[in-house]
Amino acid sequence: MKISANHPLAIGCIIIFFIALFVIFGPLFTSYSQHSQNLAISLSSPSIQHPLGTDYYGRDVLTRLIYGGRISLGIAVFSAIIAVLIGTVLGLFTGYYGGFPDLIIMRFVDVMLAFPRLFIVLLIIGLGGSSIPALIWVIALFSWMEIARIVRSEVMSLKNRTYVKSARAQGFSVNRILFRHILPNTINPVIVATVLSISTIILVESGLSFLGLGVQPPNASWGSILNDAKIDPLGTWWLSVPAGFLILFSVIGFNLIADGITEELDPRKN
Amino acid sequence: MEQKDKNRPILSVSNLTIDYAFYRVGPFSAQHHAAVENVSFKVYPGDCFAIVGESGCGKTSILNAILGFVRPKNGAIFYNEQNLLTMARREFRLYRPEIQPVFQDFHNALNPRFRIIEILKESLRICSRKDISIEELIAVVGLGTDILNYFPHQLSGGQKQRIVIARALIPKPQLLLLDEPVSSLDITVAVQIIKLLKNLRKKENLTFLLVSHNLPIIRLLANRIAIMKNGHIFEEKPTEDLFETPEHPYTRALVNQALISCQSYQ
Amino acid sequence: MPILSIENLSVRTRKFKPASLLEDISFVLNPGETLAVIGESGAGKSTICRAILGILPKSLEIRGCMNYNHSEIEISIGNWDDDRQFTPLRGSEIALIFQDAAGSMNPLRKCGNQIRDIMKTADNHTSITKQSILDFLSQTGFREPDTIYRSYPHQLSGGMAQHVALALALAGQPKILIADEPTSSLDAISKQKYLDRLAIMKKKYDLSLIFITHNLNDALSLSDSILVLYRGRAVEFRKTADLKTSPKHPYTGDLLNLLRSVNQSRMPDEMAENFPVGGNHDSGCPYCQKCSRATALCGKTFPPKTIIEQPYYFCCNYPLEKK
Ligand SMILES: Nc1ncnc2c1ncn2[C@@H]1O[C@H](COP(=O)(O)OP(=O)(O)OP(=O)(O)O)[C@@H](O)[C@H]1O
Ligand code: SF4
Ligand SMILES: [Mg+2]
Repeated sequence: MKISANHPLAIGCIIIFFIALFVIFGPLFTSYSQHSQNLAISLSSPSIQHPLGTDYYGRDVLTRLIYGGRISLGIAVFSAIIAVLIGTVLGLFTGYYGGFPDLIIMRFVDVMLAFPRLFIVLLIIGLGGSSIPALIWVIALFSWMEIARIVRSEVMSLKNRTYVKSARAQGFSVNRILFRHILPNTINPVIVATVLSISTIILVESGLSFLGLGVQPPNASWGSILNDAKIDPLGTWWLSVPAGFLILFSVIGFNLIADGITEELDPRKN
Repeated sequence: MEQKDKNRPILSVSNLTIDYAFYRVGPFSAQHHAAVENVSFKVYPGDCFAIVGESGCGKTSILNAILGFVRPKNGAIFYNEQNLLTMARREFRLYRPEIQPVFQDFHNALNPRFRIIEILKESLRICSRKDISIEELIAVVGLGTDILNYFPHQLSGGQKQRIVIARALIPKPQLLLLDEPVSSLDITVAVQIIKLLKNLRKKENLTFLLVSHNLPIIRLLANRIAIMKNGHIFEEKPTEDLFETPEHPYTRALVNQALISCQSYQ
Repeated sequence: MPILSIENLSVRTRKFKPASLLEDISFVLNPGETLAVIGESGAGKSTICRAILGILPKSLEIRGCMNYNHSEIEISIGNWDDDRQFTPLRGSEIALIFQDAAGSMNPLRKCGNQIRDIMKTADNHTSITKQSILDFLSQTGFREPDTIYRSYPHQLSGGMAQHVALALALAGQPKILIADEPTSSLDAISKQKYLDRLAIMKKKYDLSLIFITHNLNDALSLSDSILVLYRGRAVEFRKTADLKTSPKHPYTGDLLNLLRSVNQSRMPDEMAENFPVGGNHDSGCPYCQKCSRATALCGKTFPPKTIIEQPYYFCCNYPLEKK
């Protein structure tokens, strides 16, 4: 494997690496707290003290972008992990057993996919309130379907492989066959799907927060900082542009990584 | 369970019909296609019984039915006079170790992510065999210990097929189902595998049910041959009789063809 | 004047620890003749075909030279990385058929359309009528060209798919046809049908044929000359008639002995295995650990090429004598 020749993967990793640095080590370089208000300097444009200006309450935008990034990315990663777990387990069992349960679950998946995800999530959050754990769960519960489908189709082809048949003929238990002999061989597409779903979830969360239904004040996320700018996006460009770019770049970064991994795992390459 | 009685078939298949359904539009307009129709035969202990026919004629379906991978539409499969098709799942599991398959497709027969040693250990553990070490096991199939740390893709075809055979021996089977065991191998390797199988049959008291399309090679191993086409068995005879007095036209064509191609080098 | 000649072809991986897939292979193909390439699985048979068409992955390093020479067209290739050199060869001069015929076709296009695609490329994009495709199909031996025209690859049986793959290859009007194990998944009867048609097509279109197989019977009965590969080395290249009567290389000798006993339905005698010669098959003769004639010399260096009569040769220190 020559990673150096794989430009998408390299570029994606560099982008995500810098965003991660920014989010993790950012607090070391700002002296402000994300919540400390100073109404006297409300909505001041960028200056030496506040490199990215301040918001309505006079809070430092740079600091809020750092902490907001932790929340945005954290929600995305945790939701994606939960979604992958649900999707993988359901995909494994439906793919292996087939039959009636498979039919039911897959039609359920179709129904879930048929709903516009953002609106359903909006509805639930709107009715039930939005704490961060609630956001994670609700987004995860509406993101596992693609993964279930991918895993299921992989399993359907793997279960007819000769080595699985031999294992059955020797009396291996179903769990052993599934988790030790089939699951590891489905892992490649699952990794790609996970990375891709992280980037879609970043968008979903930003969308929710932009509409005011995601992360609630005083906490920030990139989407909610965008939301702060919506009265005058051009006039208060230091609120909208940096947050927008962070969202854009992390989505691009994760997409590039997914592309790169797909290429790296392409059997023709080895 | 050992049945030494030579006159009692170890495996008896009667009126087996296997049917695959194709769904055109929905579950309500299934079209049926019979892969195997009304097939009967008996395999006696110590036999090497071969089913010969072109690819797609239903040979593998019969093996899959015996292994419980497909459910036949009709008929019965008796193993030591127990009907495998009507017995409960739990009871069937008891018979699993006694019937072991060796498939044609050895490239896919070993889990690509495991080393050879892990593959064999896994089976030893599941079959709880403590009386044999891995080294002894691979010596039985004529391999050295140097390949134990390899991954399957690093082995040659012949080595893979030997590992598959070694693994099939782990549950101490009575009956081996061999699906085209040598047809993807070249002649030097094929002959070695045939020899190995022949020796194993004697040493381990095995019975073989063999499926193939390569008559000349089958001739070296089998003592009874059944000719199959389009889901039917046309003719069943001891090997030498079949070569001397083929009756059915298809058998005759097949035997002739095999003999002609053998004349290229005598 | 041979239509194709390959000199000192070597294919290696460009890894940190280079492995050799093919080493120093030379052979010639005379116009109108059939060359059979035999060898065990992994010996490098398919690698040769891919090298000839320049479709090996770029991760491999290829050395050697190849000359193609047919009436006006003369192409000689020394730099194998240059894709443009191969473009005039592919399809219209040299065509390739794979073992997995149905898998090598586009599953989403009807056979007729796939043939049209190839004919268009061969005829420089003139429009091809349906009738001309049907004519072509019946010329290549199909009794129901219309059915073939309309079917998708997955609707064909294994034998039929091979016949269609042959027609597809012929549609480009090649001069050389390379068939990579076309019959190894067919039973005796469909195989014979296929080989018969191949022979007819070869005559009709004046083809030269490279036939790759691990079935020795087919190789012996079809070919004019034979290249024997063992572990990526060419151990013997001979006229078929000579090879049959007096094989020189011990590997060829062992192959023929085994074949004879299988053909006579005798169980072959014990073949001795693993002669310790103090050397290994990577640096020395590839067959040294299985060869009954091996000595310490064989384990050290690859035996030199002994030329019997240009271009035929074998590589062995202690060749078999004529019986
Ligand atoms: N792209 C590659 N990179 C590295 N090794 C390769 C590559 N392609 C093939 N090989 C190796 O080269 C060797 C020769 O392979 P090849 O496919 O030419 O054999 P073959 O004679 O056609 O065998 P078969 O009878 O199985 O078709 C094998 O050991 C194979 O693993
Ligand atoms: S060179 Fe030596 S080892 Fe190789 S084939 Fe000849 S005698 Fe045998
Ligand atoms: Mg090949």
